Amino acid sequence: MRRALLLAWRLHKWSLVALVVASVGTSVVAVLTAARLDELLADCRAATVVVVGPCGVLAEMGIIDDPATTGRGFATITVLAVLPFAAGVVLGAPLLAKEFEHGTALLAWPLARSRLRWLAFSLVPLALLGVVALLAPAMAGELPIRAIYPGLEPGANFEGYGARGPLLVLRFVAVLVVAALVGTWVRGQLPALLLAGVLAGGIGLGLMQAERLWVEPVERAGSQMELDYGFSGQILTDQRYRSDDGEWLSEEEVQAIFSRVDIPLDELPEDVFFVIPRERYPDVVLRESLALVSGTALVAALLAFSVQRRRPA
Amino acid sequence: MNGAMRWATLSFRLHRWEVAASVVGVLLLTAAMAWFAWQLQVIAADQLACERAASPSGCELIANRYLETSEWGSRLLYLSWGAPFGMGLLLGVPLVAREVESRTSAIAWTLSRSRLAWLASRVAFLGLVLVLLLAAIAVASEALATALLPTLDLDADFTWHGRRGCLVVARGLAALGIGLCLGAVIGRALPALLAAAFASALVFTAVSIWMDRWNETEARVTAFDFGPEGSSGLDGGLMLGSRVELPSGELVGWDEIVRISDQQMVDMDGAIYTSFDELTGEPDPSSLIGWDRMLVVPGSMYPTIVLRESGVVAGVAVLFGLLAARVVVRRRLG
Repeated sequence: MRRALLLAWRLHKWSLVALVVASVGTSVVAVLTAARLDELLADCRAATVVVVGPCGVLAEMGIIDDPATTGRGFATITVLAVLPFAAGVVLGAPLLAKEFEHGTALLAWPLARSRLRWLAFSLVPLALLGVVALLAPAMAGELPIRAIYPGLEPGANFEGYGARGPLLVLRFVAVLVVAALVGTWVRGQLPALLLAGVLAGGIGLGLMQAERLWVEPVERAGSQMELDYGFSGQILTDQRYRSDDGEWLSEEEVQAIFSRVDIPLDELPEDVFFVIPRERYPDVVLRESLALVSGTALVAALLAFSVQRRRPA
Repeated sequence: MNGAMRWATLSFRLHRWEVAASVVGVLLLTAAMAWFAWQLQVIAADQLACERAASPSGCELIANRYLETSEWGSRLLYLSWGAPFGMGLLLGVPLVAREVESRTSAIAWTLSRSRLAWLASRVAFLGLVLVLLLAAIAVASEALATALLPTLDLDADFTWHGRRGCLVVARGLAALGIGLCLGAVIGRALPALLAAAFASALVFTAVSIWMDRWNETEARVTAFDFGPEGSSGLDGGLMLGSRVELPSGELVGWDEIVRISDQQMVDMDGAIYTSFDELTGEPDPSSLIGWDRMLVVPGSMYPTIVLRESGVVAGVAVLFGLLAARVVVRRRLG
């Protein structure tokens, strides 16, 4: 295994160095941003009266809002959300595409005892090194979320979903395998990188849409939401209006009601939100993790099949 | 004519993947932008007709449709921000790096009159392709921005600054220069692409910080003035940050104010007080320490600032292009 890891490092050192630089850089920024926000939180808790500034929305929204620091925290989270996809593409797409582009598959495949063994020997150490490099950002991603939302438990908070914890690592492995598969179809590293990048973008958008589908949303009345830090940390899936007799109102009916200028407050329809509540965060993470592991296994099987069938030249 | 055709055909063959991917991407993006701009104009006309009708019922539905369409349309402007960086690097990095990596540079450089002539010929083709494609994005994004904000004079407005107009083209050329230079230095396409992506992030961040400092010389100190419809009162200006204006006229950051007192209260006029009556909530006038202000470059300066930034970014492109030429001239064959 040590030999395989060393070989993976030698063959992909540029990509691995880039990944380590990106991982360490974002982790350091995440830690520093969280530390600064923690200082602000300590000041906010010590302050006697708070009207403006970073503590202004702490009580209502459960969030520290210092524009520069909070903005940097959210920017770091965005980078962390993109990192597993970029890392998967950069490490996965050239894995086989480089062998075909340089014609080295002609030599490497016949020399290996089997192509599957060669694939495992190339892919697994690379995946391992990538996972190790991403462990730091996966853990560091928890810190800005904990610091920006001090009133919410990170384990029951959908903010920064996918940009922290095990999902970050699992998403990387899934994209790595998909990108490696693209590398078997496309000749040339840059075209493979481009195509894998487009596919990874599609996977990312798909996962963003899917996060609201893993569990059933629940109904929350508008008045209830205001008492509970608003929508912070929850996934809003829909908003509808209900009449007094419990019937759902159509968009046209709602607009007809709200266009009346003289409508008494007690005749307004009930405002109902459909949300995935914070406490379902572990369930959603678990379900996406299982889906990612199954999907990765499926694509890995397809990759093995492609490598077995492909001509080395 | 034949010579030009041969040059274009050969250059295209050498970079057909990158050029084809860029052309397809730009065609899809500009077509989507044109479609959204057209849809927004159609919906706006429907809305106008609806509001002028004898019974204006259902106008809210059209307004909602306009809002949804404009939300999707404005997302496309993010792509027009990212396109110059992506395309510039994609076209610039492999230009020299791939020749060195596949060991064809020795033949190409020996056969051509000079290495500089070879480089100029390749850069001219890719630069031309890049400028044409990014110009299409710049025009399409300008048209989409106009359709999204029909009531504003976008020639004197910083809204979506950097996502429309000539800055899109200038940024693409700078990314091409950075990619070209690092491709020539590293001599391998993939590592050079990664290094160029990092270098671009650093260079453009530095340019952005430097431009902000330069633009501060044109900025005016303005009071926060929230308009009737939730507008920020910027009037199309470019906000460079918030400051506190002390009674002495000196401008300081909020950090300074937090150091003076751990409690602040801002009234509707932006006046900042450090104490107030606990019963009435009224601020104590004697505790006034300054006014909440913002630094804004007026919207009328938009063409000047865009030209200035485009000039600086084009300068970066030239600088990296010259560095790349130097590396190519000095590189060992093989």
